[in-house]
Formats: sequence, C-alpha cells, structure tokens
Amino acid sequence: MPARAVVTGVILVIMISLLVYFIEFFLPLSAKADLDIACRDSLLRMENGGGLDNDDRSELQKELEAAGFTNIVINAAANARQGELLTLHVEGDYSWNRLTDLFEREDQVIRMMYEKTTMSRKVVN
Amino acid sequence: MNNRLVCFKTGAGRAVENALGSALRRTMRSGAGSALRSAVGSAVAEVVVMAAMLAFVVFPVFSTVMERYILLDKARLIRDSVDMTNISVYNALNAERLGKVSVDFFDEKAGDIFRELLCRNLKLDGGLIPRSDSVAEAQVEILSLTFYKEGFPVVCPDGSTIKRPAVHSCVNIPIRPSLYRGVILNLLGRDHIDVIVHVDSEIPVNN
Repeated sequence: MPARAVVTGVILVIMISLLVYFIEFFLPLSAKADLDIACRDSLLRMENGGGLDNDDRSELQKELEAAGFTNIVINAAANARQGELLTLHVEGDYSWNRLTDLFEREDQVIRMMYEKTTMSRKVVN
Repeated sequence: MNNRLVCFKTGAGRAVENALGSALRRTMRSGAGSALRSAVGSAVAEVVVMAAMLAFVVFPVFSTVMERYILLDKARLIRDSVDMTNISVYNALNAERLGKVSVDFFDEKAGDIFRELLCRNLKLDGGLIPRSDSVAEAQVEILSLTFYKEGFPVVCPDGSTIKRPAVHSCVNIPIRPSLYRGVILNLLGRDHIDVIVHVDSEIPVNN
C-alpha cells in the first residue's frame, strides 16, 4: 500500500534523524575528555620538570589541534622552584557540525577549559 | 477508492458527500473497504507505535546512557584531581630520613598540602565548600587519608594492596545529575548523589 510505505518512510527518516541527533550529543563530551587527558599528561610532565617548556607547550598545542580545538590559549609557568605551585590553564574552542533540524545542520562552537594545580617536585635523592 | 475517501474525510462539500456517501457506504461494507480500513488502521498503528517507542524506549534509554556518561566523566575528572593531589604530597617527604634509606613524611605538612591542592583542583574554599565553578555540589568530605611508608605489602582501608610508599585517600564528593535532575533526586529521595573516589598514588621517592 502506498500510504503505508509513505508512513514507514517518514518514520524511518525521523528515527534516523533522532539517532544522529542523539549520537552528536556525545561529540563535545568526547572532545572534553581528549582535552583533559592531553592536559593531564602535560601537567604530570610539568610536575616532574618544574614547568612547561616550549617543546611541551608546542606538543600540547599540536595534540589539541589534532583533537579539533582552535583558538587555544595555554598558560603555565615555564620555570618554578621546587615545592612551588604549578598551575596549567588551557582554553580552546571546539567546533562541530550538528544536526539542528530534520534536514538542517549547523556549526556549533563551545569554549572548553582545563585548570589544575600541582606542586613542582622536590629532588631529594 | 483512496480519492473518494480523502475527499470524504477532508469535507470537500456537502453535495459531494451526499453523492458519494451511499457509494462509499456500500464500498466500506464490501471486502475492498475492509482492506482500506486495514491499511489506514495499520498506518495509524505504526505512528502510534513509533510515538510510544520514542516516549518509552528511545528517550529514556538515551537519557540513561547520557546521564551515565556524564557521571563517569565527572568521576574521572575528580579521580584525576585527587590523584594529582596525592602525588603532590611528595613534597612532604622527610629528606633526612631518605638519606638513611627510609621513607617518612612530615604528616602535618602532607595533610596541609593535600588539603590545599584538593581545594585548588576541585575549586573549593578552605572549608571544602564548593565554589560556583566546582564539579561538587555540596561540602566535600575527606573520608580517609593515609601515608604508607613501611611494612609493605599493606592493604589500604578500601582493600587495595600497596607495595611501595604511597598516599591513600578516599574523598566523598556530592554531585547532582545533569538531565532530569529533579526527577532522579526525587526518586532517590536525596539532595545529591555521593561519589566516593578512592585513589592510591605511589610516591616517586627515586627521582
């Protein structure tokens, strides 16, 4: 029956759109997890090395760019005395193309931030 | 047949209705009419089933998965913060004792460092009360904080075996659900969900 085929088609289109819409909710969450993991690695290196040197900074920048971040801002001390607090502050824009209506997609941008503090490691032996 | 029905159903006019009425009634009584009723009925049934699936299966399943994902993500964030805090206790090692091949902490200093770093990383004030940008939703509680220096292997209060100098900490961080917050908390009969994070971090005594 043509009526039934049309109804089934419409239902399928709506269901697939909903599925895509729901799955795309996870993209920014996954990007935030990537940001946290990359920054945590850098913070551990900072703790060990007493700061964020240029190599580590550019490596972090590259990692974040590869994860889809733009307008990245990295703030961290390059040198800290042992026993001093070290804070890594990273911000970046994550943009992704998202289904906003049944047949419409739009670019969305969200600003994500990471800020954690550790203590520069004291070499005692 | 379909044209007649559409015309009849959309009310195309009383004259048309009268002219077609008897023919349609005759047709509806026949076998073809019953097939039409069945086709329209099954299409309506499909729409109703889809709506029910959306309301009772798709949305609840999606919400549950999403909520769980966000909760696990918050727990990971908290665990990372506590781990980073534990490792910072390294700075409270007693260097003189290390020279004698023995590991010891200045306990008071270690406790102070832990508390200070926990407050900074979880964005709490001095009384462990969360600030507006904190992941915690109510006062954070340090359930246990132990420094293991000797007598290995030892078992921490949460059952993990520790074989090297380490810091054991267990922290209770109250958080709230992100989706359907009111419904979930009402069902649980609580103001927040307690996330208890237990982290054992080895202290890098040999740099």
